[in-house]
Amino acid sequence: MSPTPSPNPNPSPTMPPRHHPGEELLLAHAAGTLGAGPGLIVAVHLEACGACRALVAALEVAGGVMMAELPPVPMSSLALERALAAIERPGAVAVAVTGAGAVTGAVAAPKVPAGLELPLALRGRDVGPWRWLAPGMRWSRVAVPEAPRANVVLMRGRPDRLLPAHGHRGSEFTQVLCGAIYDGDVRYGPGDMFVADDATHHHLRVADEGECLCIAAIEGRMRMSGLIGRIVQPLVGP
Amino acid sequence: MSATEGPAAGAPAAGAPAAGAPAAGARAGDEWSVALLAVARGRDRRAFAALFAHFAPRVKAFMMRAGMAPAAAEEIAQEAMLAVWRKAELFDAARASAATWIFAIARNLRIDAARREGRANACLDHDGDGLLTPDPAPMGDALLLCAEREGAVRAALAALPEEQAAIIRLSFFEEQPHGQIARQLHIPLGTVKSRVRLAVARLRKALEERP
Repeated sequence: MSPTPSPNPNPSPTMPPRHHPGEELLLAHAAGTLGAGPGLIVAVHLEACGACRALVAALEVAGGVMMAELPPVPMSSLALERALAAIERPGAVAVAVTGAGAVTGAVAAPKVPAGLELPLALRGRDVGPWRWLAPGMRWSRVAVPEAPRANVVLMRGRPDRLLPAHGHRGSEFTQVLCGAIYDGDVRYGPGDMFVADDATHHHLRVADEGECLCIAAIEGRMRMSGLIGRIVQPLVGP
Repeated sequence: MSATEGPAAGAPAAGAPAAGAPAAGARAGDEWSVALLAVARGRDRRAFAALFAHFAPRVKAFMMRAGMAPAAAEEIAQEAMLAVWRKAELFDAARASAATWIFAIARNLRIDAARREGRANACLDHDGDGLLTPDPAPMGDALLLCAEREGAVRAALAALPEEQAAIIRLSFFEEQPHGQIARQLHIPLGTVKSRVRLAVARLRKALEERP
């Protein structure tokens, strides 16, 4: 993985995203109450979307106001003394990024389409090898060591391929990194994010314009239908 | 300091697309931002003590309101203030107020604490690393809002109808916001959601009107 950060996961952002996380999701993100998996997907969307970044920044202002308006709870009598002592200790404050569970860098960074930079939010995360999902469709797991139960995957599809029809028990949060995907007539292009919940049973098809790469956080289990679905089910279950 | 640890690090600060150009010339904004700048530029201990006296009890209140025990809330408040000292150079008064910036630090520590707790319950083996892993939501996002916009957002917030303001307030304090809020206020979940949308739409409008 390249050590040079690039602020934009989309190499040619000709159009701003058209499908955004809902207000509730952005508010939960700003409040810090969103789960690690969906939070990662929203973070990837924010990298690609200035409008949502501005809105989250506004919601963070709201957070600061809400915190400031709470009746303050006095700290213990020695709290300031402790803090002043702590800032004098050399190295006492800086925390080294070492030890169990620290992110170790990609073990097997998946091959991504030429020209695509993985989003900053994914840099330094372990990404597993590509695995078969369906004809022309592959997936790989993105490690979320800070929340091991989070289920985050990259999905890659060749043009015009279908993802097996599936429903959900829980929600699935998807961000398109490159290429485009259709759910019925609705097109999701680079930078777009969409959420599927219990009520959704969708038929996703990769647009014929090129390879598509998405990142998705899956909460609960997907319910696959059809023969391929039953074969694939054990692979993508959490 | 790791590239993903600090408020500004990891965020597309320089040359960030959209979100408006930051205001030209740093504007201190308010007394707390001035104090924070004094810490950043001169490692000013008196300024730090003043920030501590003002913000530590508010961070503690925020953590307790979010359901944390007083001792744990006090520890997080300590941690937050040490982070303020350590990361002060990353604060940009042209883009956010001290209150917003310190809120973002406190919020991230709360996320880390919740994750440590979740892992302890699940008997998993990564305990203690919550603070060390990259933050999927860089606090730099907080810095993309210039001080002028922050004023517009504060005004819009102050003008929200109380029923909407209450929902936004609770959204910052409850872990599972919307279901709990619906139960607490005895209103349907759909009503909570529509009030969130209305309130956020007003903040969005405030942003659009003050480019």
